[in-house]
Amino acid sequence: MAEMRLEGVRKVYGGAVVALDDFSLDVADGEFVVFVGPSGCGKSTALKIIAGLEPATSGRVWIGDRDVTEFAPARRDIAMVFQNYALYPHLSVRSNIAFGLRMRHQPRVEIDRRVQEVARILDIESLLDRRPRALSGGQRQRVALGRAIVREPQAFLMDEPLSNLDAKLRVHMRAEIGALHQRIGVTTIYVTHDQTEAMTMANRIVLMRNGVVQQVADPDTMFEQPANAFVAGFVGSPAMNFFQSRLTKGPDRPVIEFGDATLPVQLAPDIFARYAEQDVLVGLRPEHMSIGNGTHSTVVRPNLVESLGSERYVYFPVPTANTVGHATFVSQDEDRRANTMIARLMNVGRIEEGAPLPLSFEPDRIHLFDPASEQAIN
Amino acid sequence: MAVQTDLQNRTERTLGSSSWIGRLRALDLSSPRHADKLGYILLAPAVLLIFVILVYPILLSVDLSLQDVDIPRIGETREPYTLDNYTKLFGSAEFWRASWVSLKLIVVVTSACFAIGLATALLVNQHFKGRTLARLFVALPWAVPEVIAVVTWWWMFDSSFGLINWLLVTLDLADKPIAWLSQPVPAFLVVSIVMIWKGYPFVSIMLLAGLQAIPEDHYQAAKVDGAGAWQRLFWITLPSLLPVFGVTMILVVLWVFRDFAVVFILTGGGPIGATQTLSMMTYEQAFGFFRMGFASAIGVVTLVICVLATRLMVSRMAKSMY
Amino acid sequence: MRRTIPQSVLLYVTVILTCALLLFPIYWMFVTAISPSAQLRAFPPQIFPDAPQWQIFQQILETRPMLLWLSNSALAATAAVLLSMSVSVFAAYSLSRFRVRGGQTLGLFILVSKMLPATLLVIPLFAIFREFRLIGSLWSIILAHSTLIVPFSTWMLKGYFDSIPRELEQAAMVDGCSQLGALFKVILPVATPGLAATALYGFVLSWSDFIYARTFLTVEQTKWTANMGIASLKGEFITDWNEIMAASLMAAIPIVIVYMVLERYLVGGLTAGAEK
Repeated sequence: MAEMRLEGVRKVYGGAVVALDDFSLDVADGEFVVFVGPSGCGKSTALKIIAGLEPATSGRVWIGDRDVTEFAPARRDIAMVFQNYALYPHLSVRSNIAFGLRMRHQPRVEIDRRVQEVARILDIESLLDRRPRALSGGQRQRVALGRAIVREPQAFLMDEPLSNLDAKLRVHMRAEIGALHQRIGVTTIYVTHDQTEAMTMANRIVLMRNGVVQQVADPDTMFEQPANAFVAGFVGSPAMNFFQSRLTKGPDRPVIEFGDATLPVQLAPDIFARYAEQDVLVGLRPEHMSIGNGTHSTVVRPNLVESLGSERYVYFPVPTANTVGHATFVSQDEDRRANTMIARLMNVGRIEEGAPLPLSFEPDRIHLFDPASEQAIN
Repeated sequence: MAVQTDLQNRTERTLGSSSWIGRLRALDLSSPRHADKLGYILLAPAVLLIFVILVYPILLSVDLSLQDVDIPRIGETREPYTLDNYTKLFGSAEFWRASWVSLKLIVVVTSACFAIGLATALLVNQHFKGRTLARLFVALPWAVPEVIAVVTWWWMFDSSFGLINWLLVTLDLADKPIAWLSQPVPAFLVVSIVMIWKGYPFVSIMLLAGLQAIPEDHYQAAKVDGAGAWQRLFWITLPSLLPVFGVTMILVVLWVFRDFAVVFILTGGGPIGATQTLSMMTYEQAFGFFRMGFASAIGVVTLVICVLATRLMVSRMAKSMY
Repeated sequence: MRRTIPQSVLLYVTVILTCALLLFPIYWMFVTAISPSAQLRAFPPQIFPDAPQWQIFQQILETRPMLLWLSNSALAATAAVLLSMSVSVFAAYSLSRFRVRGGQTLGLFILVSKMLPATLLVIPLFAIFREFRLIGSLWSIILAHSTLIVPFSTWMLKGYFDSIPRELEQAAMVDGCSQLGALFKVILPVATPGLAATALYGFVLSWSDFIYARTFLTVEQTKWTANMGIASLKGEFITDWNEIMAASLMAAIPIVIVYMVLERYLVGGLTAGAEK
């Protein structure tokens, strides 16, 4: 087990395409770090560079106290779990798990003992003599995990290990990997495009976009204090709502307008001075709205209501005055149409589409972003 | 610079290694930094072999075609450059006749191969018991070496005791046995039949693979829309096969154009040049009359035609598909 | 979709008739081989031989160097396949996995070389082999057949390697293999069916050759391949057709067996490099 360090790692393809830009990160011993972001954000490239499967254009990689930048993958003492599991199809499950130990010339008795033990931990003892092709997706996943943990490496690298599983199994394996990490405590870097996986599993999340790290934080911080509009829109489901409003001076605090509601926001005086009487980008999570009239409320007309049983997603249009002209942070949620907002309402009765619906807001939960740079300002 | 030495020191200290080991390690071809070098090393033997047995001979043959040379000796001073071989070639009636024979052979053999190949492929694409065996049988002539196919058909077309003549006479289709290989048209026919028999299995195998790649739901959808068997053939099967058709056609045409053994063994190009293809002419000039410079010129022209025809067909096909 | 009984009967009759018609020359080869010579010159021809002469096979082995010709063919084919595969496996792996400068050009050249007429290549090869005194030696056709096998097997194997996920050798490398170790311990074992199919196909290419053997091996009868021998059995005026057919059967059977084994993989081999 070891800590890990990336120093200014950069990856450029063909001299022009920047896949990874100046990536630096310290990972503590035993930490579970998740790289997350939309496809093409550089997270897999980063993982491959750590594994030694791809050269970095510049920068250095440290595992423990060794600079492994020039090391072949074999010498880095890491284990990796792949999205397609990459089990050796010509070998039995037993030989698959033992492969890494054999390559390291461990004594046969020792190999057998460790394979048995790992099989017991993962509950795959009955599968040891089968071929990978005779296994179900979940079983393959376990074998792939077994092949990684049997080696007792310095670190685990996992490249979207759950994305080939169906939804139910994914939730189950998510918990299981979490438990496994608790139990053996090996430093783990886990790559996924699924923000739920990131939020539930990580000690720390590295959120990436177009090869650039957007924010490094623990899940709660990332949810509550997103560094920019992209992070805010990426984390959380349904994704954060965005609209535009003029920031003006209110009775005691600065205010923004949403429809006919006036919402006070918290903002440092010097920041307010910079943005006063200008448009800002406002972010409001769907769960921070509730039904009924309150101190800060407005009436909307839902154009779609989805019921999930205990909660309802209410879709309604953004008031014309608040529409966002252009947004580069485009939410990952492809179903969201531009300038539609979602309210996530718990335990409410029937809601009519098209009928007026009073909604109240929690002003303290409002996020403000610079409209140009999209950086958080409050 | 200072940072780099510092890093190096740290690396070496942690490895506890002296500098030559460090240098050796730097040569580790599995290191991400050196992976590309391994790519070149793996490629090198093949490139070397290809140079010796393909690139150099091709260059040599182009070189030969530009000399007035009979039997070349490597290392001897070469004859002066001349385009004589090419001017002689394009001026000779024999060349144009051989081209015409090649073209006729391509048209006849290719179309017959496609007719038989498509029919057999459609047949064994049906679901029935024993179709694995039927598939194996239908394409079996592919496995018969050309020389053997030629002698077998030769025997069947034997003018005195051949089965075909007996059949034709018995069925009153001919009044006397036909001397197949000593008359121009029948000789051409025999050459064509042997090549068709050798060539159709390839078409059949390819089209069968193409047929199996057509998703079943296309047929289901067509059936729901009320298309009959023939309509399904014309509106779904054949259009879906078009890309496979293209590739297969190129390969068959190239094969017919370049083939040599069938004509050489059966007729040697005769009678009176009726089966003299460009390939046959090349070989005869080179190893019959030992005019290797001239023969090389024919060969080079053949190669150029092959490349041009392929390119033409590929671009045509690409256009018709989109 | 169910067929009616008449439809089924029609289908089976069609299948059987088609096969019978197309395979008749092979059947006739067999019948001719085992018929007595006298019967071959009789009318009507005997479609079902009543007095099979099995000793023809023994006879041909005794009176002709058939065994030698067959073993020459096998030797040349095996050597050509080994030589070609030993370079093309690595080349194909390199083309499949590495970004090698000039790799595209090489691929293009290989495609063009597949269009190369043998009648053209045979001329410079003759000149070269004569210089190195290889004319009459099996080495000449081993090298000549490699001109066929190297391009085709490189393409075919590249296709196989392309179909094996990269993650497999990445996993092996992380597990402790070197890049070459991953190739030998994981990729090649996984590609075994592809390697076997490629090798067998190369064997067929070499075994079926006539032009190179005819050109380079004319000197000594003992160096001939089976195809050369069979072609030589056809006399100018008199031909013992039962003998020639028996020899043909013996030379065709290995390839027919290979074909049976290979059938499933044939399409990959036939199209290797055809689509780019």
